[in-house]
Amino acid sequence: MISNQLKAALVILTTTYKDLALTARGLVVDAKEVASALASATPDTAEHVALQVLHQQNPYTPQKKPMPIEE
Amino acid sequence: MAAPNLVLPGYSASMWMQTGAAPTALSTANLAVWSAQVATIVGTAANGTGAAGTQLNVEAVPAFGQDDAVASFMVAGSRQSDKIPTQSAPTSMTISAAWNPTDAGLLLIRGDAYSGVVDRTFVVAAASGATTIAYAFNGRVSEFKIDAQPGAEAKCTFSVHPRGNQYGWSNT
Repeated sequence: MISNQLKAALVILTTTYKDLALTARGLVVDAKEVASALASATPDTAEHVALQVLHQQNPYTPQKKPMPIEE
Repeated sequence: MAAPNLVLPGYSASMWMQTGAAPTALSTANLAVWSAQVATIVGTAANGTGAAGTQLNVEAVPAFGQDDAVASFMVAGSRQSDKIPTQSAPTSMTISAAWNPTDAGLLLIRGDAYSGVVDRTFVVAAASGATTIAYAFNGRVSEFKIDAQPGAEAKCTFSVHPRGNQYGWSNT
């Protein structure tokens, strides 16, 4: 299940006639959610194209757990 | 499936267009989607379905892609200036076709040219066996002319001007 925020962003990106990168730059989305949705999206669909562009504009790097400090 | 994995001969490229006097052009995202989008415009000869398109019978597919656009910067005393690519415009395509007054594709082109405001999806498809790579774009038509020289077959020439940013690459 994706959030309404990401759903709205996908609707805009799959129906626009404008530059996808420029449009995606102005959309507010959660980078982690985008990465997760992209991993499970079906290739060769408009949603996959839109998620790729959103991922390029909102890169997500998983946070590594800090190493415990030994005393 | 995948895109063709070999050096393609020039004659493998064919040109297709949406049918209908007032088509709804594919959105920017859908121009990069083969299944159920670009494939519906490309005919079966190029591994499409042809459900919503027709072939444009051109003599040769012209060069397509980008025009050059660059900003040059010069500094007195520097040995070389700097060139930075800026916004490249899509390259306009001047197309020549043998003139058959009843050809469905050329009749649509004529209507588009006289209207001047019809956005239509065109596809250049290059097929090799069962694999196809497609460049789809939305464009408007202009400069429609008939050249009826007595020493050769009559030709129809026209220009297709792609809309900026409305293009996509897809493959089988």
